Amino acid sequence: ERGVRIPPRAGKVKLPGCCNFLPCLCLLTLVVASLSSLSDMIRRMAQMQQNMIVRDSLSIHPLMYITSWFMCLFTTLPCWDTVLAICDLIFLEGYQRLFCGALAILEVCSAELLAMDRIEAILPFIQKLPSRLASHQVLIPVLWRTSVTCVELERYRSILLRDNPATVPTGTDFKTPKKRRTASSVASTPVSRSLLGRIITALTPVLHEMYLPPVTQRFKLPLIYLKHLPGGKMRFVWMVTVNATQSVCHPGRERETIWRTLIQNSMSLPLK
Amino acid sequence: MAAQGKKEHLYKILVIGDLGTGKTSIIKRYVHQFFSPHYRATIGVDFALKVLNWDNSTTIRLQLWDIAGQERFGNMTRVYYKEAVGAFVVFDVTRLSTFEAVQMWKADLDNKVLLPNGKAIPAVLLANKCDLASEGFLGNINQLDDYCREKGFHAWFETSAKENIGIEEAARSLVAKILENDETIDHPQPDGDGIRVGEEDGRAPKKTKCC
Repeated sequence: ERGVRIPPRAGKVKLPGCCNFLPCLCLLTLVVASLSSLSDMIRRMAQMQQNMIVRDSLSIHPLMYITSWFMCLFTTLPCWDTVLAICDLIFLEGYQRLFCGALAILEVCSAELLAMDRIEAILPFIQKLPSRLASHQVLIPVLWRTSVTCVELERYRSILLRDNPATVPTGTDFKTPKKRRTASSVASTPVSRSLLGRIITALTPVLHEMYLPPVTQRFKLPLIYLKHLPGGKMRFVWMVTVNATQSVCHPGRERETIWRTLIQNSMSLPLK
Repeated sequence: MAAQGKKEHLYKILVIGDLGTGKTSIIKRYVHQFFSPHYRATIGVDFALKVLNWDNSTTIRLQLWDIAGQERFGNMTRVYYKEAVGAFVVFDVTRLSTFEAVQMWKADLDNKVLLPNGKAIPAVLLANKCDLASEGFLGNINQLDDYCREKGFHAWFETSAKENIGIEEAARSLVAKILENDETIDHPQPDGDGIRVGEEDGRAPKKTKCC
């Protein structure tokens, strides 16, 4: 029980079906499994039946804009206080809140999106949302009144599972995270009372362990991974190589920018 | 078409290749004449538009789709590839693994998107970061000609987004090929009353390093 417990190698970690690469891509794949349903939800929740975004004629698939929101926990939004608010909500309530974030964004920009008719206008707009729409005052109230329940997500997923079993990853479900028993979170793991503990619990199924890839001279990246500590607790450890520090954290950049870049870059690291 | 016989084309072009090979930098250089040494991962897909005045009678709007390098491991590329008519496959001359991944990307591409006539979409191979080529693994550079022929690439170019080398040429080569395809697909029987793009009188750009 003493000392740092070495996390088991990837083979033992139960990850959602298809993905052995990106922890967050796993999450996304899971989400994508419910994605045709997301369009349904977009329709239902924002009454956007005529929304261009979900209209086939423009061939704009939700994956074209939703990926960065989900994989980077909305850190691509221009307003940092909004980012923090959304992250808190996700960390506290589980990742069904990702859907709420997406729906809230679509709702606040629906009027302007509906006025556009070309993919060249729509995609850049929604990928680089203007601050006036992403500001805390505008977006967060909408987020608060947007709700997606676990039951809904489970229902959509079971429909998909019935229709197309091969594409739906198994192993993680849409539930508010509780004590999970997977290969490396042993039975004694308590539910943490701290926010960080909850963050970790919420992300454990997908972020189970991130591997440090060999770092070459030419290509150094900031790394984030979960480290197991005694007693089954874990903590986030930021590993920033010298080069990456110079590259990402160079003087003159705001702390916010540095954190965004660190988070986003770390999302594309391989899981081994 | 439009007034004065001005013809406008809209083409969707994919930029794919492994993580950190410089796809985003190439697009930034090509579209915004800008280079940043700071790495920032693309997540999902990015989108840029480049308008080319191809010749006096033709304007071409290129939609450049910058696909994140990790996407090959997900199942989502099909969505991004849809309706593309050309592709750049990028590797980093200083990292062999990115070159080995080229054929995986090409296979992924050919599996998921085809031209309306059922043929593979034209792909151009970019050997990026050629300003660092002295540290690279590419010894005899001519062997890439054979590689391209074997793997079905239309052409290859050495590029450097940092030093602005080869990108314009590569784009011209790909667009020329796309226009050529477009003609054979859109006008199967050339009866002379459509507006031709003017390839037959030699206005097509030189095709450098084609294989």
